[in-house]
Amino acid sequence: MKRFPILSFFGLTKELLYLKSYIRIADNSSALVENCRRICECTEVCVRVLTGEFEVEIWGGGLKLSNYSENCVEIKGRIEQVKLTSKRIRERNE
Amino acid sequence: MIWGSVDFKVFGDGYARLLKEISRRNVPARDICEKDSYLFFRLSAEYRKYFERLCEELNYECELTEFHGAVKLLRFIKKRAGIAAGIVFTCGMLTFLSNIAVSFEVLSDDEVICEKIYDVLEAEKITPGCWIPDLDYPVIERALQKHIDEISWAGITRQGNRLIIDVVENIPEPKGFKTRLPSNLVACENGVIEELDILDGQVKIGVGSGVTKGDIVVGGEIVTVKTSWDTGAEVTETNISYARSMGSVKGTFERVMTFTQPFEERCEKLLDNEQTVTYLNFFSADIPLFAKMPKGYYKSTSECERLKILGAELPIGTTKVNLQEYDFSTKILTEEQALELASDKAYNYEQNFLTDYEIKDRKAEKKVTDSGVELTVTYTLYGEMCKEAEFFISK
Repeated sequence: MKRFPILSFFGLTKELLYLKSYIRIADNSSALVENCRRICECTEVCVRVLTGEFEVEIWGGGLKLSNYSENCVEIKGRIEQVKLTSKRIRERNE
Repeated sequence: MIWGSVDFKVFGDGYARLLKEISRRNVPARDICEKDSYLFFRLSAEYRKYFERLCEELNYECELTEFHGAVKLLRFIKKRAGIAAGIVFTCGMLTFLSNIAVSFEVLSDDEVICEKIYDVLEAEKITPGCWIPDLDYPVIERALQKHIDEISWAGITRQGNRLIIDVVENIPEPKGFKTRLPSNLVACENGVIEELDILDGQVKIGVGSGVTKGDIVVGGEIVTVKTSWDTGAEVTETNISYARSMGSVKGTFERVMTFTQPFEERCEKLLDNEQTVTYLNFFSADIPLFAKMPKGYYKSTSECERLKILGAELPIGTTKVNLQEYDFSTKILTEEQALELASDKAYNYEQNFLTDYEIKDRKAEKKVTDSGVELTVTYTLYGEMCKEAEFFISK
């Protein structure tokens, strides 16, 4: 059985430098995505944004995106599903 | 966002590029949503031009669909110049009126002090309608303290359009004799002394004696003579001391008064002519709303009505003055009527001047002349018949 290190050096560095993407979801009405690199798609049913390591897909109804400040977006509407796809898997699929 | 926000509708081939630029350039867009192949979002009004240039740069067609907040209000006002002018005028008027003194309130119960304060304020040209920012409170306070002896301190505060004048009144000094000049008690009536109650001084005329006007009843110059014998000869030593004569000297005396009533009496007669004139009150100014004041003699009664908003009285209103015309006429009195009027005069005299005396007897004598009636009344009175008269000590 392969053993994973409990503490990753790069993981700790990322956390200390605030490079991780924090996603805060309030009920099913809003989601705040920090360290967002890019807005890829923004329709009523799907919002897709790219963070450092993941592609975040939010599915629902009546979705609206607000870009308040640098690298921070807020999605409002009826959130039904949140899907995180690793950057590597995404690149592999492409 | 202080200027409000604007809604945009963008059309183009795919919006990834535009969204990427929005993220990259930190354009604070809200409510981004792609619908029916259009991209809708809301932007702060300050970014409007910037975004239009960005769309042009990226070959997107953008259309401004709606305004929100202050921009919307400004556009609304821009199309309605009258409303804008009205708002500006109202603001100006409110600013102007809020700096005008409408009324004064003096925090003192003493009417004399209040009147003096109003007089000083008027002299300093501080009247209802004056411009409050021009008032120099310390100068006015100093003027009040300087001109009004009855106050020791004055302070002015502003409460809205009202100026409140707070004062500290002087505590009256206890009444006493300020001068210590010697004095006599001198008779001011011709009569007989019946009662003496002397606190100081030397009695010159005793009880039961008659006095005429000007007699010194109690003297302030007290002379004491001391006689002694020295080697067979009489030695007289005279000492003079001075005192302020005080006390009460009561007695019975007569006073004769004559009341005359002519047969012809000039009296006022009200006429049927009654008119009402109106003035417009604006602060302390009374602006006549009529062309000409009627000529003649008029008795007037006025009624002032001020406009009120939510119980607060405004400095604008009207004063209606009711004028009742009258004229003078000569009335011929009969002997009885003239005598009755003369008796009324005598009664008024008694009520006004003889209340301090006891009227022991009253004899009235009527005399009819060609011009009127003369009523001579001889009063026998009992009461104070002396008054103090100061004198100087000869050196």
